[in-house]
Amino acid sequence: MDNLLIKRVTYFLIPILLLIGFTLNLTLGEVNVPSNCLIHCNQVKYRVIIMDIRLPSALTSILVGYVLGASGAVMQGILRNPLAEPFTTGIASAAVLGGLLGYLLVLIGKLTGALAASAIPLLALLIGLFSSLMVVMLGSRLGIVGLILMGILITLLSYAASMIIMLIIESINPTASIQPLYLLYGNLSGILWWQFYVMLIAAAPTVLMVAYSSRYVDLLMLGDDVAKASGVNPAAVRRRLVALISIPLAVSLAFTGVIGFIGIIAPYAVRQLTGRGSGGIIIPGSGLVGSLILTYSYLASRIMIRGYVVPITAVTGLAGIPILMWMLLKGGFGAST
Amino acid sequence: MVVKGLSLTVGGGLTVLLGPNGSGKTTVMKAIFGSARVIKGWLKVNGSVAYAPAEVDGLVNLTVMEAVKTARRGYGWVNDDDAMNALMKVGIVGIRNIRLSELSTGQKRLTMIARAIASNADLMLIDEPTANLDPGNRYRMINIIRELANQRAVMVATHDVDIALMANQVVMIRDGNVIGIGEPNEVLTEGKLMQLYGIKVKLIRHNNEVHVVFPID
Repeated sequence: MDNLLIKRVTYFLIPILLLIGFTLNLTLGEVNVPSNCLIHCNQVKYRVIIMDIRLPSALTSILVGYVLGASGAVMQGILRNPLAEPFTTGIASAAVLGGLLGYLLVLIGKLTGALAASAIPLLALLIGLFSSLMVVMLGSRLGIVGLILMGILITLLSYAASMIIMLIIESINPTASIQPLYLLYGNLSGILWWQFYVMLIAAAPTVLMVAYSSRYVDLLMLGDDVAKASGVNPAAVRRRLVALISIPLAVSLAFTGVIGFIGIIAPYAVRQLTGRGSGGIIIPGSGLVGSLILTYSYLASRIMIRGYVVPITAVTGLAGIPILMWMLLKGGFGAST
Repeated sequence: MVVKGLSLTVGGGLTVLLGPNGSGKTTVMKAIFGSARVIKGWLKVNGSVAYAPAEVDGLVNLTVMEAVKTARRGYGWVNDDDAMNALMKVGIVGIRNIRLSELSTGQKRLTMIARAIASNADLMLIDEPTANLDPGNRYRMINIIRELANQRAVMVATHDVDIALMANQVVMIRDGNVIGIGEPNEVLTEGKLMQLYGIKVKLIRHNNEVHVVFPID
């Protein structure tokens, strides 16, 4: 009974905490905006800070957190592995490679004008998406292990190519700061409204279609043979779902960079809180918990060191790695996850 | 694994694939639901199939109820009522909210059998239902299978001779070769069983029942 009470309270608590974190992200920062300004603001300065600077970033942290948490839950389900995460296909390192490539093309003058301005996110998106689709096309026939190994290989390949591109960039212009490095650290500051809208449009169809597919995720958890006997082709389900989640992942990677650990921890937390395993609960639940984690991580990243924004992945890592260690020590990867 | 020389029609009742571990029984089932290929000859499945494996991966986080609800029924999924009825049939309603990862081997198998029942498939394939079960649970499992086979076509892969004894037809497989096929009283002879398992087998008849013993020298 106590357990049930805790669960009920948690269900209410998560949206409330999310709302509080969201509000704090709007008011706290380099300039503290009085909270009554959220409802009605006479000062133009505060209105600009909230509407043009903080609101798109605060909304993005909710959106990207949802995408990371939910796609982590999908990946863990279809790969039958509690250590799988959204970037298991190598999409993150491929996006970093794409960003570096875009920067290089601008530097050597191959891309100019409007294309040059958005070269980094555009190529991060395209290369990330391409690599993810390639991994799933090549790997899904080989089953779960094949898919995971293919993802690891693509990650290593992207790193190798990234190192060479960074050297080329340095050889061309030794003093240039390597702009695409924001992709490595994760960044939510300075998100513009149009970027948020692009991410939202990319995420919305996926969220709906994944919700529709949650039973297939459950079926795959019971094994490929059981799925096949039910007339469902597990390789096709994996291909479809990885392709689906790759779209919002690639888009958010392009704008916000690699934000680690949320995709592993959110599904774990939801499984523990609910005592359930069905995708119908775990996928949207992980999305919500992902939003919560990223909202507070973003808040912490902005107020931790005055005048600086700490890289998001550093914050999610500081919070997330101890949780992962705890999971490992209590044997949580086995029976009780 | 390749199974050779199998000619079999399953229309209803209980069909038992009997053989030692690694003889190719599961391969026959996999061929039926499309996880293994038919190299030569043909196989026709006329109707829907449900498969209850011997082992479910220990990491499965689904609860019993959630696992049963992954069963397909026609072109859709089973509903709550069908799932509940299936759980009642195998007597595991009490554990419906417990995760598969926390269950015993027997409970996991019963869950998968309930899932197969919920799908209302024309043919139920049950793999090694009694392996590693204690005598009480083994007895309960055998009764559940007997009851299911009264209502639909059930195919069981097992090395448990007691299940074969109550079958409508038995296929004896060793090393991928079919060494006997027919009704239990025709094929379950001491000679054939000795050939199947490679050890001494004795059949004892008692009150119209046949019992199999493996005597120790």
